[in-house]
Amino acid sequence: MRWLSTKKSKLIFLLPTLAVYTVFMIVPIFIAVYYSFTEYSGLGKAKFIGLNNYTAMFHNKLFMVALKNTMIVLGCSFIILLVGSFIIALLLDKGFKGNSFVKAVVFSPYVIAPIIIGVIWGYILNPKFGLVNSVLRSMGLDGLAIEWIGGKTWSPVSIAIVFAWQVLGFHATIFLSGLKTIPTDVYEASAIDGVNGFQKIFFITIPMLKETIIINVVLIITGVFKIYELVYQLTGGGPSHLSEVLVSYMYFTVFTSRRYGYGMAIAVIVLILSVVASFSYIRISSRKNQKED
Amino acid sequence: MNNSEKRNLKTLLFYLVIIVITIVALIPFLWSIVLSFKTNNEIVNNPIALPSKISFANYKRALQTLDLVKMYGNSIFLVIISTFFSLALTFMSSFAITRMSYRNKSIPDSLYLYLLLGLAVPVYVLLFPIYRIDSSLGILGSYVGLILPYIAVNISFDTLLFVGFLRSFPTELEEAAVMQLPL
Repeated sequence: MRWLSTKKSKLIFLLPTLAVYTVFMIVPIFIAVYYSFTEYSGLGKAKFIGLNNYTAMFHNKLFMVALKNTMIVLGCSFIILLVGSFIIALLLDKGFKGNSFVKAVVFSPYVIAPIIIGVIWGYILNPKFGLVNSVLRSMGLDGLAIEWIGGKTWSPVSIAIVFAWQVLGFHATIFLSGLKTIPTDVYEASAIDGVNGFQKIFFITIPMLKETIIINVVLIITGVFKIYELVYQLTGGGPSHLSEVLVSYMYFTVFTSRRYGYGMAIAVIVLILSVVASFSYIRISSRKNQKED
Repeated sequence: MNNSEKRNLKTLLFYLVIIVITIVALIPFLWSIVLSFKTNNEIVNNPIALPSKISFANYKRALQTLDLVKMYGNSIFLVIISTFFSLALTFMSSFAITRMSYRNKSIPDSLYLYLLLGLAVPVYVLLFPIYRIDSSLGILGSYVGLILPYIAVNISFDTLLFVGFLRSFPTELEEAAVMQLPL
């Protein structure tokens, strides 16, 4: 396509995307970094205070709680999602009647706005009249009817469960497309060697899905750092900010307490955590492309 | 247990698992439909019972309090415009990245990585900066001030998909098509 590669056509093709992307995605990052070094309450001028926001942040109990909760959500949803979506993909990879129906149903939560998912699950997890606890109580299992949301301990786990429920189908679909790339003759050869089902999964499927697993892992990590509406809907961060995750805590400091500088410092930390994870993914996947060339 | 019994049991187990997965995925939706027909009183006092009578009171109230025409209008308008532009723009830039030739071979790869950066950015952390940008561009509170950030947020994932697709799509087809063009 050399004939098309004039400077003018390159500009026409690339410029709109780069302009919109730079102005509304990259410049905001720099603005966030700038404000993170200042004290700003929305009025007057921002006052430069150096690294004070960052040192204050790491001495703040609420920030540490939010960081801990984010890690709990990350850990729980990581395990549920990676194992769950892999198993679902294995099941859906088999041809059976109603396969595409099940695929559509499992994927459907992903296309619904998280804020609506939060509302729906609020009615399910509500400790007093939610579906889960009502069913447990009617079976006489009152001991298991814990404070899923709104309590002090279980909120991050509940958030992880709801998040996992929502994106399970998405990650299963990625695994499914990975499974389709494994050539069938590998399985045929292994069948001749008398390999059983579990050996097949652990010694053939998983090693051959390495790239897919990496993609899923990184999408799960970046996905967890994007959770906000679920927390907002399910617990509102409460009681007294104990169920806050980093992004929801940042939202609170910025839009409720109007401590813009401090909030942006948290935003920068979230960004760094998330970008570091994604970059490892991008590096690994570009290494793979080089190998293919 | 002989072999065919074992296989039957396996099939039964398989379908059981599939049915459980489907139910778990569906229950929250079904539950919210059930709740939508119950009164507040029933929801709090008698949570798992089915509604005593199907009442459309909740729907009626929603229709009365919400300006559905305006809201649907806004949503549909924003969806159409931002989807159209994000697909069109990203396709053009992905085409430029994968198909055009550059004197410096590292340019397309660097552009690709640059555009992928946004994948890792949780948009909520950028709300305040975007608000500042919108207000300094004078587009705060307008459709444009909403559509442009929507497009920007979609660019990274769209680029990932488009570039991935275009790299695996044979160029011969495009070259053959170009040959047919009366230039």
